Amino acid sequence: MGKRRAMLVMTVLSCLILPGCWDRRELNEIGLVTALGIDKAGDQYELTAQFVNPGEIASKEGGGGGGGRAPATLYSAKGATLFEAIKRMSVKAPRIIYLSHLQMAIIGEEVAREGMGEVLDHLSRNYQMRTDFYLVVAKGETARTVLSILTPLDKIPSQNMFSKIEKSEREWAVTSTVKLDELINELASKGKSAVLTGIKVSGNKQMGETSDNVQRIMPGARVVYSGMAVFNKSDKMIGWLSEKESKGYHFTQKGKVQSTLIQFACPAGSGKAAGMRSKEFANVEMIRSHTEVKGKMASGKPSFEILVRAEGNIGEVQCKDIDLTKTATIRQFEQKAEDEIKSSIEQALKKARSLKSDILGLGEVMHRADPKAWKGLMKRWHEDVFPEAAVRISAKVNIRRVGTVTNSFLKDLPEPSGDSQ
Amino acid sequence: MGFFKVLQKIRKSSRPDPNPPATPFGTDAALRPSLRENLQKVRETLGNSTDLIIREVAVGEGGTLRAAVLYTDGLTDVKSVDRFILEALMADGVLTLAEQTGTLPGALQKLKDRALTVSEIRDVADFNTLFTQLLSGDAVILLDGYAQGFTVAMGQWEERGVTEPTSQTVVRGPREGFSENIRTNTALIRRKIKDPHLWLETRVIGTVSKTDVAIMYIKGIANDKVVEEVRRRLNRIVIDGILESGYIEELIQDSSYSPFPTVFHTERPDVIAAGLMEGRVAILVDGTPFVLLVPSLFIHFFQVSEDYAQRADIAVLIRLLRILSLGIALLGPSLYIAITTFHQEMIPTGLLISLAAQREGVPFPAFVEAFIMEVAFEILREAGVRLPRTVGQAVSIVGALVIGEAAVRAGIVSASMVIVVSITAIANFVFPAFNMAISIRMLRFPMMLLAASFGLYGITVGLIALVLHLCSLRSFGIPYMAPFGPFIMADQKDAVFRVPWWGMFARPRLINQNNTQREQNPPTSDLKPDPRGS
Repeated sequence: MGKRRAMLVMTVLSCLILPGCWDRRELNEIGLVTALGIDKAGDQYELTAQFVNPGEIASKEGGGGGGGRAPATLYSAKGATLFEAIKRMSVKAPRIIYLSHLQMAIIGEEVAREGMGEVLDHLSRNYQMRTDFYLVVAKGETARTVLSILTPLDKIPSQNMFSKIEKSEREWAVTSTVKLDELINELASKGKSAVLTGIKVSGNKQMGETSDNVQRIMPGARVVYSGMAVFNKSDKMIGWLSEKESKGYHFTQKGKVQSTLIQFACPAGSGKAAGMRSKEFANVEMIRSHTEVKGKMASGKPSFEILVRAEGNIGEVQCKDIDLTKTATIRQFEQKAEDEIKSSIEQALKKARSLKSDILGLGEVMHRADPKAWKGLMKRWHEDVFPEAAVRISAKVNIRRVGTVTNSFLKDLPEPSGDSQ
Repeated sequence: MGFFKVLQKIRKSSRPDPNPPATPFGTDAALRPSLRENLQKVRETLGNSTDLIIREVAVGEGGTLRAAVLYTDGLTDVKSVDRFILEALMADGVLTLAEQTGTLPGALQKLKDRALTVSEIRDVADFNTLFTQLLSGDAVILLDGYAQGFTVAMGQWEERGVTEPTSQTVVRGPREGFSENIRTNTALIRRKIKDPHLWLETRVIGTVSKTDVAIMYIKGIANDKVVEEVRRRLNRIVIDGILESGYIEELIQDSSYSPFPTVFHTERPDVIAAGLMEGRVAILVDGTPFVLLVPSLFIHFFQVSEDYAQRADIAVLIRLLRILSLGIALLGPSLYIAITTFHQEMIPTGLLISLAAQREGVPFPAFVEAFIMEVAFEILREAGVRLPRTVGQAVSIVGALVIGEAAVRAGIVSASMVIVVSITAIANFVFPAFNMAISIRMLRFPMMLLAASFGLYGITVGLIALVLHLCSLRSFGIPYMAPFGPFIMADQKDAVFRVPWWGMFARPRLINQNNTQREQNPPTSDLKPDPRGS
């Protein structure tokens, strides 16, 4: 009996000691932080945290809804380190700062340009933070400005940004969702430089901060994703990719393009080609794509082959003088789309070369293909070898469907008299 | 620990005298030859109770033999006594003069053999039997000059007929339920199983109440060891009265300090019949419609007779639903408490925000909130059971309004907590066995406490303890968690799942070891649909 009792006491005691989840917090004691903005303020970091105001978010029936308070509120604090700023925030924020539901971390461009490695340490070390939030760089703004814009549809600005980046990555393939662990991997990798999507405020920033912004049908200020920030081989941002370059970059990354649009001018030469206007466009919606990047050492020099295979459907045709029922026309379209993909990749490559930063990850490909050679190339990869490496780009597009109509009714429109024809 | 100590103390202090007086008569229980003396003794013993009817008549040629018919008014069919006993006794020439004065068995034998046109007659020679029979509704005939009489089964009293069982209703299945009369109940079972091996043993338990308790089992299917164990445990019972089968249940169950019932009870004859055919033993108690069934495993409390009447696929889905309800009923509030106070990171952001919004302004911690609601609900439920039907409706309306609406409006509890508590309460009603439902209801509170102090970790520890406890239980020697612990593959056919009847070849392994063949058809039976559809 004595032995059994001792066992029981020990079990109960271990119950008290063992649990790791000792920190009981009621839901109305925690302050849900869904977005963090990191800026520079002199030598210090300025941390801006977006707290959700749950009472304003959840729709309540009857009166009391709305209440006129913002759906989220910002607290900011300065500190030489991020954690200091977070701790200092407690003198301003009435609730426990709860970071597990962080959705967005916005890095001010200034911080990014000066090197963001320091910032990431705390983000990856803090046990509350999961690694499933997205990191973006505020383009030409402070992160704080971006966070202070009220957004329509999604009441919480961070939620708005979160769903926006996921959706646009899926549909347009010029933005990238980069999670903390992915970013750290890329920063640490010697054969690949990091890129982060850019975010900026378009419109009247002052108005964006008031509820006026969301009460109008056409908000005065919006938060939009724009371009991608390129980092150098370490953690400093050195430039921006344009929209086309971003798309080209995405095509070189395996599985990054889920769906996008490839647009090109109407092919000349079919039908009455002579009179075709150059401003007529057609486009193909990519529904599947697959990228293969191969690298090898050819006579002492690294050479690469990028092959994009894509499938798509015709999305829109402005061209009047083509016959989509003919396979030759479809083949022409495919050719055009292939050229367009190639040119976008070439542009991205050109930009990367000019920035001396291998964002395409060709170094990693080399590392895998020829580890011995990589050892020799590694040290001066970004600066010397990558810009000079031979890269052959090819694309293969298959058009599967032409949509619910074959030839456009535009063909049957009566010619407007006196037009350029 | 302390609680059990107190219980043991109470038990010890209220231990009965090991040698209680067996009967009021002791050894001096034999009937006297004198009728007058016998009647005097009966009257004295019953304290001249007014429902005792004594009719003295003169029997035989010339009416020289005095006789008396005794019965209890209300328990005995007076018309039958008049018609079959008095008429026969008072008929002329029922006994010749020689027989009246002849040897002792002669007259009695003659009466029994030739005069009394009733089927069940027993000799009685002592007062103990006499009183038991008399007070069970039998008529007693005593003759002057004989230290012996008969009891004649004439019992008939007002009773409830066979009605639909209210505690276990089904959509599909027989509508009859047991009643309070043990004979009606055994008949209901016999109606379903017409096998000569369905055996019935009756004994009288209760020194004062003298209640009939019957054991019913199918010889050859039931495990003899279990039957012997049931007999042994019933024989051990020393109690003054048995008013409900619950008394027996508590006296024979395997472990008294477990929250889980190890004896199954039901009002439904079809459930008992099915149990008997599985090799289980039924214990019927006179005076209650609830019949006990042992051994009972954990999973039995989640099975309904309808599972076997519905098609197998539907039955399986509904059983899974019941298991899910078990989880909700046991863990609903505790999971809510644990996740919202310890593990907010587990909730999707959108949901967390709306939960947090509801908690804005709620003054209590989630545990207190849940506790208030649970207790309020338990009070309402208990009130609902006890209240007169006419008032019940009013109370349920007030309860619904107070708990559901006003408490949320007043900001005392959050709306989500009301949802959690109500779904928990409703899930608890899914269990077909009321005694299991009560256990789960009771265990919910310690789980809430664990959740509030240790989060999911506490719940896990609680569940582990619960599973360990369940695995340690036995019901009449059969592991309570069979066929899961020990795992018996063959018995999975009718545990959580139920295979179609054409696949139910064997009876549960552990319950009846000697006769497990259920369907005579071998596995390649014609009953199984031919996949080729010939």
